Amino acid sequence: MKIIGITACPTGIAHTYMAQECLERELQKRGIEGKIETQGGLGIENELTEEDVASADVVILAVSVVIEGEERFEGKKIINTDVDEAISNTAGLIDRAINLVKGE
Amino acid sequence: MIDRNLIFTNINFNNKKDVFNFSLRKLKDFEYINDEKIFLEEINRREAILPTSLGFGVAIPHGRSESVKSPFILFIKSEEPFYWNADDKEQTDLIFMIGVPDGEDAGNIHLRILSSISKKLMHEDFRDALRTGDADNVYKLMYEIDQTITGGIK
Repeated sequence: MKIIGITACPTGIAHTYMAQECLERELQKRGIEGKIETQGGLGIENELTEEDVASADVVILAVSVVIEGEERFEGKKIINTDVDEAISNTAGLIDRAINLVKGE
Repeated sequence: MIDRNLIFTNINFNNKKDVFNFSLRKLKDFEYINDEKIFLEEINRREAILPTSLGFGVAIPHGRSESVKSPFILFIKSEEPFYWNADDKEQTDLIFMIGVPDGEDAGNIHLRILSSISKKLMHEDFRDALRTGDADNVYKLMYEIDQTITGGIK
């Protein structure tokens, strides 16, 4: 299983990076391969490559603003949420992503 | 940006409005902002888009504004936790108020320090250290993060 995602918030100062940290830690804790791109005040960082997207089972878009490059995920399984959920309900969000992959 | 004068630990608040009034006065006194009203409008505007109380007892009101003269982090540990917003599930006792001037953008070292502190806040041991430490300890914790970032780039 590979889960990728993007985090982005309105000001791009704090939530973007908090959400990234929460998702990465939860994935690491569960031993799931993953990569989280941030689109914040520092620009696009940890950018998802074509290979990342191709090999991912599911994409989590934890974004509270319009993001760049959403078309990259056409045809992928996507969970749309906001940065808030990624921070306050990280485990639940990862569960949803896993369930979506399993088709439950 | 990390300033011992902007760290407050022996203090008590019970609502967001008082936190803002107190903080803005300090920021003006130490010359981080030039117009309290404009910055207040900015943080309220940001707060209205998405509340900045995150759970874990942490709130991070923040804004980018022309009224900010230089980037800052103001830290408050309220002795008693309180509800940041009326509909919050958890109470807040750790508050980071963050400001950056308009036009600070990608690659900026201040934003990198802020993002680094934001990530740290997601770690329970860091929050525990903030809760148990006095102002000098908190300053040291934040200064270490600052040094890690600025030292790494030089």
